[in-house]
Amino acid sequence: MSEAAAPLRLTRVGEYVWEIPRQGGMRVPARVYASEKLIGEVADDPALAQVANVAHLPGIVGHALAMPDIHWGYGFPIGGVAAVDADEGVITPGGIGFDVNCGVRLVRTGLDAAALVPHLSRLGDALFQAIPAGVGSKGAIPKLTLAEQKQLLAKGARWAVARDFGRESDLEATEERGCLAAADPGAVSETALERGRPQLGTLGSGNHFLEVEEVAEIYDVQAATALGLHLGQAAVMIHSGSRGLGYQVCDDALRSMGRAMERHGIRVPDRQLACVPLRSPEGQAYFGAMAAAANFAWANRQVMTGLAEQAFSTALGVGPATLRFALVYDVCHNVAKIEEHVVDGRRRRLCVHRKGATRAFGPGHPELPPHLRPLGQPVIIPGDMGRYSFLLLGTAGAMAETFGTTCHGAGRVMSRAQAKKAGRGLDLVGELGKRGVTVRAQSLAGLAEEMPWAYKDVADVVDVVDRAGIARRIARLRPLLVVKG
Amino acid sequence: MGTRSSDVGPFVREIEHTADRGLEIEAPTLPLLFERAGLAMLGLVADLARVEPRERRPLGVEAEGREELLHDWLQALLVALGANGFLACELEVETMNGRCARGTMRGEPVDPVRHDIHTEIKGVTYHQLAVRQTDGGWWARVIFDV
Repeated sequence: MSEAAAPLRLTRVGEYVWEIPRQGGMRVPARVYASEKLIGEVADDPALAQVANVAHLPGIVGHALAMPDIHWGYGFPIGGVAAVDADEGVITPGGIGFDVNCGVRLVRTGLDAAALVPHLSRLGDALFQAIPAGVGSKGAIPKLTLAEQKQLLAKGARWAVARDFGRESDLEATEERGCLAAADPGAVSETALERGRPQLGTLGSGNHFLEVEEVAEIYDVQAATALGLHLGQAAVMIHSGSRGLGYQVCDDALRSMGRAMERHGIRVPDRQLACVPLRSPEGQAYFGAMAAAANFAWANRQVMTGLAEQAFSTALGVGPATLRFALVYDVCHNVAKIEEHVVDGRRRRLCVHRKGATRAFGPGHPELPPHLRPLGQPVIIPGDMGRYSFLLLGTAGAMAETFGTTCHGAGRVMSRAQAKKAGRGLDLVGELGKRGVTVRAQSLAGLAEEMPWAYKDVADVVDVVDRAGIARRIARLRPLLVVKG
Repeated sequence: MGTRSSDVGPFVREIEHTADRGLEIEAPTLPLLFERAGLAMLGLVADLARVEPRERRPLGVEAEGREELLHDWLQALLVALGANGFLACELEVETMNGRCARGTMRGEPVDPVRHDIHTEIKGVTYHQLAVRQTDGGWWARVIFDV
């Protein structure tokens, strides 16, 4: 493999922590959070070599990290984390991904899940119609003008709330209040703007989804109650990102950084880890464009929340007072942000890259809004569509060990081609129906790639972060209705 | 004449990649490699047998190096799809040297009702990207983020 110059040594340094010591051009050691079972699943996977590659980044501090949902990505592994000195270090699109601010939100409702079951087919049709999905779909709202689009890129979720998608209180329950202030719409290319313009309010395909779920189990009643959740309650989970705009921002940067690296004297083991100093003109341009793309993603999820509420209202014939939609929280799991963390006893300003990893700030963190500060930051971990998802809270342990970071999902164990082969001849929609899950999907082939057997059991992943103390389990949610692109 | 989507199958192999999709493509010439790679990629997005060559549009990219050129060629097809909703089912490289590839694509606007859409490709990655000359012609490997 091109990733590994030498065989990797892996040493167990804690019950759930494995270390790859410094070797070759690694500037810091790498650490992987995993159980014996999960580390076994990636032992022969290029993902471990990719964590070691991340440790080559100029300015990286502490350890290159990987969460227990680690799997083979491009550049970073999925589940990879790197904190880089904000003054001396680099920024890399390979640590963020094409889908900038791909993320998840959980919306609680005033509805009883059991009472919804007889209406799931009608509700599925309404949601599938209200929220366009993937290729060839047009946004549910008219194509934006260039001026409107640039305002959106500067304002993020607030832009959508001002147009009656969701409510003001949703902003308090969104990471960064749904807007990165560093956004520079002027740094976003014409091509990226064109790709994003018709796509506001669209879900996308692949692993993106909208689910109606039931709160099936609660592990901490006090915390769940504080978050407005109780057993049997219906909730909505939305997983989507910055659509074509974000994809193009990433591609533009990879191309320009590939050329600029030589000028900055930087060498990395994988071209997909192309990077430049954060403070360089190229670094600042990418940071501004990436932040604008993150704002597009927040606006996108906020618009879809409003569209989902309208679809519920149409399908069930009830109004907002009955639906009582309220955002529990919205997290991004593909992003780089400037944060302060204590490293070796010293407070440092860092650019924290999280690619398939979720911020998990602990109780008392000043970035959290007052209603969440005593609890810690909610972390939403989607599983596969046949089993369950989890709601967690950030911890002091995450602040101490992982730059306030935890896992982001189940992680795949099967390639998409394998998953399709395994599903051949099966009535996939029927199989999910037997598990009590109603499905509406644009593509049956796409659905097969996302079947439950293609993923690790997310409960195993959550168990590791809970036991390792880098998040704590609050509730488990069971899917009732899945809408996919 | 160029390459039609139905001509591509035997020369493309899908790579097992856990999260994303990857392809290995073979061709006797570099222009044909680019045509096959483009149609193989779009074949992951949709069933190209249902796409008709109703419109002809130019396609051209410039880059330094063969890998970069292939990357940009494929990316241009994704941009045509993402920004303009145009799905190609035939490709023809008319001019090619180490720094540019120019040609035409034939296809039609995406119709989610008539076309069978499989998935969306977010980007063409540089991870393990390779274009090599072989005894029999040319070989390429590309991994896509989906």
